[in-house]
Amino acid sequence: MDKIHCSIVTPERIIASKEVDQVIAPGVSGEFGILANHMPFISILDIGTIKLLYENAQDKYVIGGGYLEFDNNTANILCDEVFTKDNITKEETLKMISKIESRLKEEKPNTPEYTSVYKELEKYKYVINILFEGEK
Amino acid sequence: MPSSRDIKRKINSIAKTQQITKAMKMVAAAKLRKVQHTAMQFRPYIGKFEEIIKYLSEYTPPQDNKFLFLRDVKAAEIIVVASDKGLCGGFNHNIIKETENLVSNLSSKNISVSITVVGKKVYDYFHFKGIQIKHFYTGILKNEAHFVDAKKIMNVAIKDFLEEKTDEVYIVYNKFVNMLIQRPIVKKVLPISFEEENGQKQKYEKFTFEPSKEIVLEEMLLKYVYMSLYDSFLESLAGEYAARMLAMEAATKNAQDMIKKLTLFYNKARQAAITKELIEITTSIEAMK
Repeated sequence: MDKIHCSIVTPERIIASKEVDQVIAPGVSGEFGILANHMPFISILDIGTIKLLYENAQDKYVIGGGYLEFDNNTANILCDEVFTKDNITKEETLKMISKIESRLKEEKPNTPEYTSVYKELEKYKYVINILFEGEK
Repeated sequence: MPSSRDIKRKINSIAKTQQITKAMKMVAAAKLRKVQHTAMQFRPYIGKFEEIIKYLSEYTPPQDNKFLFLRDVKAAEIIVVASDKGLCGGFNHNIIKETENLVSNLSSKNISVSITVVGKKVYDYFHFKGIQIKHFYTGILKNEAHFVDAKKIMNVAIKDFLEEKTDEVYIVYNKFVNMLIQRPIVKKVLPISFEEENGQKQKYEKFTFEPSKEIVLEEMLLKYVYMSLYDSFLESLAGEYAARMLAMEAATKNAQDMIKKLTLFYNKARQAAITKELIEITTSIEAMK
């Protein structure tokens, strides 16, 4: 079976670059999976989890939005941020959430600023739910 | 001939200067390591991004998106990225030269030019020359570059571009090639266009977009414009520290050479004084005989 060469890059570093069987990504209009020989495809990614499936194993990456480009069995995923337990702790995430919540109170609702701050808040809430799930 | 005390004083003062240049070199080296790392890590990201944008722009007809749309160029904006501080060799000078070339080039085509400057040194120069600066930012490139700053500056330029006050936007910055070389680069960011390359034209005909082509284009192109400026920030910052490190190393070496020469001079003067004294003593003894 054909493999997909998948690489995930952020402005800071290359997160992953490997041969996989399937890529599952959170598109803005719903989660989708890509198998090898899929047609060329570009999508905007939402806050969510990218899953790379290969040889009975899977890698998960929590991302804060980005783009996915697929062509000729090569998937390039450009992310703004990728959260792992190495680069963010639970305390930091909680701190960010409270900081953003206080900022949100200052902004007026229904402005572009409000929406972008609200999106930030959603992102960190997602991180805390997924990454630190079950940690009490 | 200066007295030996004067020379001694001079040696001391040069030794102190050398200490400072040496310390500055160390500081620049330490900072360089950090920013170089960031700049290098960013390259794969912007590279991949550029690839996608290139394909997209090749397939999309320019009138489909306001960022791709080519107009008759009447006004252009130049964003000059350089450093706040001096003592870094030809770093700022190269940028100034490149900018002036670009300005005279555009002016000869009857294009009015407005300049936005990031970095105090270049601003000082243009201010001295009496050239009008549209916007001036300082204190942004300090130790590290922030994406928010790039976004803020670019937003102003984008606004003017969309309101058709400017028809082209350029960035002039130093690209970090290696420790010894920083190359001044002129990059056209708006409208987004690439050199024609044959053979790949058909590629994106077959692409499907999600959620829709317009939204994808809109988002990615905007992001790309921000990223271009951020990229130039990173490169410029790494270049600045590399240039400063090199300049300070040269200064330290020059100070060393100077101290060596002056020490030799000092010793000669000292010896001359001793000889003179000896001669005086021997002649007076001779005279007393």
